Amino acid sequence: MQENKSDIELISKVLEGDKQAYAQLIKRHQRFVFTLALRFSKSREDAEEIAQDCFIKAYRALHTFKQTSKFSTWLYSIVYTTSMTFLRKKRLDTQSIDDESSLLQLESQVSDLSSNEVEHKSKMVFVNLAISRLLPDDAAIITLFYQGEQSLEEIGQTLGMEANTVKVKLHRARHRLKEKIENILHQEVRELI
Amino acid sequence: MNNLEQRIWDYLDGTGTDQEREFTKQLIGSDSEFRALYEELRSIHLSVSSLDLDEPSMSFSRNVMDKIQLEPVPGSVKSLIDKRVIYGITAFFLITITALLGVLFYQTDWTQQSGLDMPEYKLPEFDTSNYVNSTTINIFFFTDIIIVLYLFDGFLSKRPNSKANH
Repeated sequence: MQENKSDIELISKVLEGDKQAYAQLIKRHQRFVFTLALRFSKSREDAEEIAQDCFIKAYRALHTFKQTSKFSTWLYSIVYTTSMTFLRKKRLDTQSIDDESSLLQLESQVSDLSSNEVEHKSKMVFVNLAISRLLPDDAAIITLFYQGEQSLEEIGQTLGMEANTVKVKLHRARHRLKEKIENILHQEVRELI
Repeated sequence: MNNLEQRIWDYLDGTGTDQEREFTKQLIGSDSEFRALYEELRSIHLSVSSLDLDEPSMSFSRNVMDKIQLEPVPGSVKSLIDKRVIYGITAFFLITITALLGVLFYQTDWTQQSGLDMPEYKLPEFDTSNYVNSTTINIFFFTDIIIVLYLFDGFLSKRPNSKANH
């Protein structure tokens, strides 16, 4: 029954004491929250920890959600700040990294598929790999825009920036993504030769 | 990043004025180099748009809900109580009581004997053997064991949840 309810209706239920309504909110947003956290942490275990932390923080502060923006925008801003805090704590190298494990994932994902599927999946894996090699901020902005389907204004609210700044950052992030994809493809071609 | 790229991204995003979009459309039709760049960026645009979201573990939702069950309802009085306020009040009373006792002890002349002769008071005799016998001791220990078992059960039932969360 709760599956048909909007985020705002579910939030009202939670504030009335119905904790199970929150399970529905988690189910609805967990994939994107996890993906966004993964863009920062680059590790599934850490991303899961960040995502869990975000949902608990969001629950505790649910009564402060003013409903002037979408719940998802508010939630993503929690993911952004939590991830940044996590990065600072872990003192991760925020420069681009050549993740060998990503290449291993690439190989395993491409197997057992028909030629068309292989082509499509390979492309997806290359793009995913290129995104994983971006700076966390660039990866987050691309994820919010394309996978979170957020407008420039909404991304601005999430990241605490002006929409115009977001637009410039998005263009730069896409330019760097294009370069990363080109690098990966050149590397692949060199390996084939 | 050059202006041509930005122009194409704007065109793909559907932003910019109608005039700019029309101009970009004309460039794609007339300039082969521009068209090649457009196709390249369009391919990236479509690929990124069709990326699947990652899936957390199967137990993700359950783990979060287990933790949520221990939380008070958001916005309730219990959730609004800031522990720092409680600690502040505790510290205030502790400091006040300590200060009063300090002043009291400081002002007391310990060398002077009391000038008052207190009346002698004899406590009435109280025979404890009527109350403290083997039955009452057994009841006391039995109650203690029940309380310890109850608390231990509560402790054990909390442990699997915390393990599952880690």
